[in-house]
Amino acid sequence: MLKPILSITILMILFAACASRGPYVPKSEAPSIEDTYHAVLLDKSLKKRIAIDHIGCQKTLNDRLEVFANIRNRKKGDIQVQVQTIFKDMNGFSIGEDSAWHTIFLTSNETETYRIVSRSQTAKDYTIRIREVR
Amino acid sequence: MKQTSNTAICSSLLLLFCIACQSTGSHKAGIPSARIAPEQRTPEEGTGISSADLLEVTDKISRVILDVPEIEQAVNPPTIGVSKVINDTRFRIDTGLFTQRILNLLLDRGDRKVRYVAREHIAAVERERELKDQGLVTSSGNSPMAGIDFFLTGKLQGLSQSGSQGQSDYVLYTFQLIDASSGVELRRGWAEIKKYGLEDAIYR
Repeated sequence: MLKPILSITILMILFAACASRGPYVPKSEAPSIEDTYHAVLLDKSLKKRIAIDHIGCQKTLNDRLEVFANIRNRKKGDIQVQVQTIFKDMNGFSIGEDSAWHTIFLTSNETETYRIVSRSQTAKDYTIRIREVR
Repeated sequence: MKQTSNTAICSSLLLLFCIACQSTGSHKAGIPSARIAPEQRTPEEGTGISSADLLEVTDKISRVILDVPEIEQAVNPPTIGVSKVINDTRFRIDTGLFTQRILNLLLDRGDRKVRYVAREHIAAVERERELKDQGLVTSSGNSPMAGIDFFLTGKLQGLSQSGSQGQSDYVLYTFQLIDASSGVELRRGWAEIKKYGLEDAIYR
C-alpha cells in the first residue's frame, strides 16, 4: 500500500518542480550593440559579404537628421540586402519613426550610398540595420 | 494481489491526470491564422504589388514631400488634399492605400508640418455648420472652410512579361505634390520595383 502513495508523492513533487514560477528577470546587456554602433548586421552571413566604408549624419536646414552610409559588396557576384534606419532621441530610444526596409541591389564589389532623412526634428541619433532579404 | 490492483488503479489515474494536463485545447479543426509583419513576404504574393512594396514606397515618398521648401519652411502648416492616384498597371488594387499611408506618416510622424483637409467628410461638415448657424446646436463660432494648398496625387505604371520560364512585373510608382493655386508640380517622388517569379498575384 505504501508504494503507490510514495510514487504518487514523487510524481506530484515532479509536477510541482516543472510548474513555471514567473515573472522572470530579462537579460540586460547595456550598452547593446545597436546602442554602441551606428550600423549593425542582423545576419551573421553578411559579415563577410557586406562592408560599410563610410557612415555619417548631418542636420538639414530644418533640423531634421540626414543619415548616409556607403554600403559595399565585398564579394564577386550580385547580392541583395535590406536596409532600415531607426531614428532615436538623445536617450537612445526609438522615436517611433523606423524607416521601411529598403532593398538594395549590389553587383560585384559595388558600393552604393544609402541616404535617408528623418521626418521628425526629434531625431538625434540613429542606427542603420542591414539584413538578408526576407 | 490487492496491492497489485491498487498500484494499477493509481497508475491509471495518474496516466489520465497526465493526459488531462497535456491537453491545451489544440483541436485539429484547421490551421490557425498567424500574424506576420507587413513587410514579410508570403508565398502567394507572386510578382504583384505587395504590402512590403507599399511600405517601402510610401516611406520614401513621405520623406520626399517633407523636403519641399513650401512645407519645410512654412510658418503655418499648409493644407493638403488628395487627388485620385491613377493605376495603369495590370494589378487591381486600391491606390488609396498609398495616399492614405503617406498621409498617416506625414500627419502622425512628421511633426505636423502639414494639415489634411478631409474633403471626404465635407457633407457632414456642411450639415454641422448649418445646424450651428440655425442655433440648433452650440457653437464656438464658425471659421472659414479650409482650402487646399497642395494636392497629393500619383500614378502607377507597369511593364509585364511572361514566358514558359516564368513572368516578371516592373512597377513604376510616381507621386506628385501639386500647388492647388497654380497647378505647378512642386515635388516628384518615385520608386521602381521589379519582380520575377513563377506565380501570378491574385487580388481579392
